[in-house]
Amino acid sequence: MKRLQCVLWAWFCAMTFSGPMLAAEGLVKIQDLIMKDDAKCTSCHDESDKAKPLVIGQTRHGTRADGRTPTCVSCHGESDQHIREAEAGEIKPPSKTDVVFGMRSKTDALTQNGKCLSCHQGSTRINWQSSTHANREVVCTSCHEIHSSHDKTRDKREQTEICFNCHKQQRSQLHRPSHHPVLEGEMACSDCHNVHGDNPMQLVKASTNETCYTCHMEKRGPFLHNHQPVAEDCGICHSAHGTITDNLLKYRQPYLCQGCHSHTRHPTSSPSLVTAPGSGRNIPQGRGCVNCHTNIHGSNSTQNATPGTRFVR
Amino acid sequence: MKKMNDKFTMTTLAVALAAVNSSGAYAMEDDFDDEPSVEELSTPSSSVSFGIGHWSGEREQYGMFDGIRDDGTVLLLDADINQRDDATGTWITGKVNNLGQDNRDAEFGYERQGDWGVGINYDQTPRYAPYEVNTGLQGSGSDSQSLVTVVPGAGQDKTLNTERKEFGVNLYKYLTPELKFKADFRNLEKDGARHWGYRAEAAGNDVVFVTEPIDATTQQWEALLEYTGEKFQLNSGYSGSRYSNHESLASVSFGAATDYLSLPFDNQAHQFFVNGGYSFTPTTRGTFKLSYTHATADENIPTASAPGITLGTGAPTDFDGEVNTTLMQIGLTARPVNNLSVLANLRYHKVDEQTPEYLIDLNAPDQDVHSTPLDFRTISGKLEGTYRLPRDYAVTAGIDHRNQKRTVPAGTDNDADGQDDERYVPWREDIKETTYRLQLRKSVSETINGAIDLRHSQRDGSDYENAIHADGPINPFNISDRDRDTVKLALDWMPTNQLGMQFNYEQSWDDYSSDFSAAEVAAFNATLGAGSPVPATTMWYGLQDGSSKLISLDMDYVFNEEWRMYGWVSRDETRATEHVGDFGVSGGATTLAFERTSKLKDTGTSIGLGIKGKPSHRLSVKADLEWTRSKSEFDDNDPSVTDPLPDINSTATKLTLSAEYALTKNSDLRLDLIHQRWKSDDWRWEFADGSSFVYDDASDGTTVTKDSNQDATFVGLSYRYRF
Repeated sequence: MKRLQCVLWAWFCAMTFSGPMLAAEGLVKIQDLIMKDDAKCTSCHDESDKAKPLVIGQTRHGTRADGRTPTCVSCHGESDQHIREAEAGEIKPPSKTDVVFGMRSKTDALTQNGKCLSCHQGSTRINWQSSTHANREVVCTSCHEIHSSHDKTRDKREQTEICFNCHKQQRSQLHRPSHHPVLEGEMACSDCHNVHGDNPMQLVKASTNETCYTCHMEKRGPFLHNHQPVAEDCGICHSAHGTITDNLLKYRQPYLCQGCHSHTRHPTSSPSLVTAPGSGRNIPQGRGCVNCHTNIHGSNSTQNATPGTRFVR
Repeated sequence: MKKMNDKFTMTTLAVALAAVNSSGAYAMEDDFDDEPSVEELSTPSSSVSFGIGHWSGEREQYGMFDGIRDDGTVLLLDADINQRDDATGTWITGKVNNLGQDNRDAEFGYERQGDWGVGINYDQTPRYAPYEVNTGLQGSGSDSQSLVTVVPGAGQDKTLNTERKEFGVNLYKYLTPELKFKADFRNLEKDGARHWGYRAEAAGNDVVFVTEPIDATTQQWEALLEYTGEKFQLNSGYSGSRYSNHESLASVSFGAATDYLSLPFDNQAHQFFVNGGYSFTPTTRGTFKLSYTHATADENIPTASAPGITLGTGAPTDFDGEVNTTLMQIGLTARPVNNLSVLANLRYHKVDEQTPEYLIDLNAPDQDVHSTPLDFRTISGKLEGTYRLPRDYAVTAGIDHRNQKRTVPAGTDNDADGQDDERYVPWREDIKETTYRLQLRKSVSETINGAIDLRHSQRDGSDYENAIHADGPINPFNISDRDRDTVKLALDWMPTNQLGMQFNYEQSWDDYSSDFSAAEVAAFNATLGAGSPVPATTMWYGLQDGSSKLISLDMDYVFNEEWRMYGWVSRDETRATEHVGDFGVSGGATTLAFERTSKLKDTGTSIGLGIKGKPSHRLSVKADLEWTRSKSEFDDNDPSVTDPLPDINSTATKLTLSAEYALTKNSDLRLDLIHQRWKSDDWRWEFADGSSFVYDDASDGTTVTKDSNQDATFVGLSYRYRF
């Protein structure tokens, strides 16, 4: 009943007041709805458009008080043919806008991304053109939702939905028993990766270790006794996205350690499960090799001879 | 959407209604079934939700990062605030997640868009070990611990956990339309106890349980200027970081003996950086990066003054750690002709440790112990071209090269017998790796897109410098010769507007070039004593080969505007072959005591299934199932072993059901049901018969127990209000 009332009121008011007033001015002008100069678009793409383009008004792009924000044509182009055909109403649907965004668009990636980069080339996107994403023709809108108040790439609890669209290996690894808490929403891919940059593996820092140190700075050292692979690259022993072995180790101990440390001493037999307490050394159980080599990331002990050099103290 | 020449749009109606009868407009807003108005669509919205939930069952594995390990009731408190003053472009934003739980985080911002802004954030993350410990250890998590022997199971139950609490503040200010100043500061407090353990001489050199005391503050700060012009962009500034360990040395008393375990020193780093780019034309761009980092760890060495400790002869009392890191990079991207784009870059990265090489101890002849400062200088480059072929195909060819110089301090007897008696693992001074890439892709079709990617890389280096614990050849896998071949196939197919499918296949093969040459066999035999056997095989020790494989299929089906289902399945597999041996020295002769070749295999299978829809205008439902099974296999091919390492199988299952019912246009009621199941036969904390692992019962008696079958169920009800 309320709806009927509303419609009747609207019809009455529009016929009684609006129409004649606009007619007196000699035109039926539709005002801008959201953005500067958007009338040429929003006269069709208004609130009844199922794609809800007006939601852009909720975003930073829709903040008109910021003079830098774009108009529709800043991104989509003047699109004269599209407008002409829409006005004529003879071709349905009308031809597309000059610039169409998305992976399946016929507009090439350079043009699409150029629209975004005309404002967003600075900051962490300076090296976008030499990034792996750019050179595989990934477009900004492959990941970002522009006409949405909720861009999943900027929400650490939902960002993986976007990244997993392409990165299946990482999705599998993050489901393994030992993993960084990304699926739990405690971390985001972008905590470690700058996907707009050209660092190795598109990391946020210049190297793997510098990236890891942002959270694990106790491993930075230097130590009196450095463990060479630790100082070189955390990724030699750890697989950051996830592994079957605890602590993100690529392989279980002793196999991992014996990839470098063989030939004397410990591998006197094949690893086997111990059966009872009291045989706490040289065993794969517990913490494995680091049962004894406690400070495997580096030791600062000056105790005599072996404790430091073998990372047992 | 409608045609442009319609005279009476919804907008016109709304304007008319607002002008004539505001109460009518209000009534319209309150009607759930009405289309949203322009104002509703374009005004930033906020929401708060609160409710209560209850976990029942065991979830030590699933609860590692939220701290809920068994039965418990939690408050569900979340908020998402987005308020904008349209006249000034001033935003007030806030986001709160899990306020009623241990893994809470929150951030708030206040800014005038395009002018200035400030923000603060807080993030708390617990990390629990997924097992229980029963121990007599006193002072767990402190720098002074005392190990008391207990009958297994008769000690105190302990849950090992750490907690991170991070607080951050940031601000920005546009100094000009092109120039932005940014600064941020983060303070991370990390506290708790982590599973440790060590070989205690007083316990007959058996391993005993202790905990690593975690009590540290990490601070990071940065101030930079960002210039963003039409053609030229530049970031330049300073960033610093400091790690402050509030514990300097861990002591463990055990009967009359006290042992000391060293802890990381405090350290700090200061970095200056510049990163710039210039667009010569719309398709030609040059970039550069420069940074210099000075890191130090400068303090008294705690073990030097620890009572009762037997120090190395000549051991230092102070540490002057210093590492200087330099990064220089230049790059160029261009499109010299319309269908060809090229990319080239060159990078220099040097980690230069300037820490003095301290004498720690005088040891057996030629085996003095020194500290080990390490340097790495890496020069890498990339050259890549993409040519666009007809019918939306493109081919990319590229070459990557990396050249690394590695400096290890030479031991005291590096020249006498051709081996460094201070080093345990052979090393190389130079490593080179070249990767060749070729990719063919079709990327702008509306129905099918895809790519085939082929890569081949070769790594080799200078001759090995031999070391004392490797009286023959071993290939440390991070520096060994290696050939790697990789193939990737990606297919994205959308046969109809409703159905989308993705197929991915990736496989790589590693060959560590492990066979001896005749000359190497002779050289190796010469290192063995008279009458010693040569290795049973002619393989180098270390990794021999490896492979990894992934097959993945994703599907998405849209039934209609209300219902959609999706699913994926992935299977991945990694394999490695490792060869190890043991040589003993007896009577001046080196003899081969043992040798084995192990085949290792990890496999993972994951399945995700989901459906979401709207049975009615007011009701939305969603169901997700995730199932993952992982398996590790260890094949040592050694019949002499009584209890070889069994396979490890772990299965994780998570079913999530949720329903949201719209009470009004601005409020919902949400019901969440979650069931989690974890099963694992991991023997890490078990003896061969499946009983719980016990540290040496004569001197320790600490028991570690894991729950192999965990089931947990969550029921939560929450109310959300949007405004």
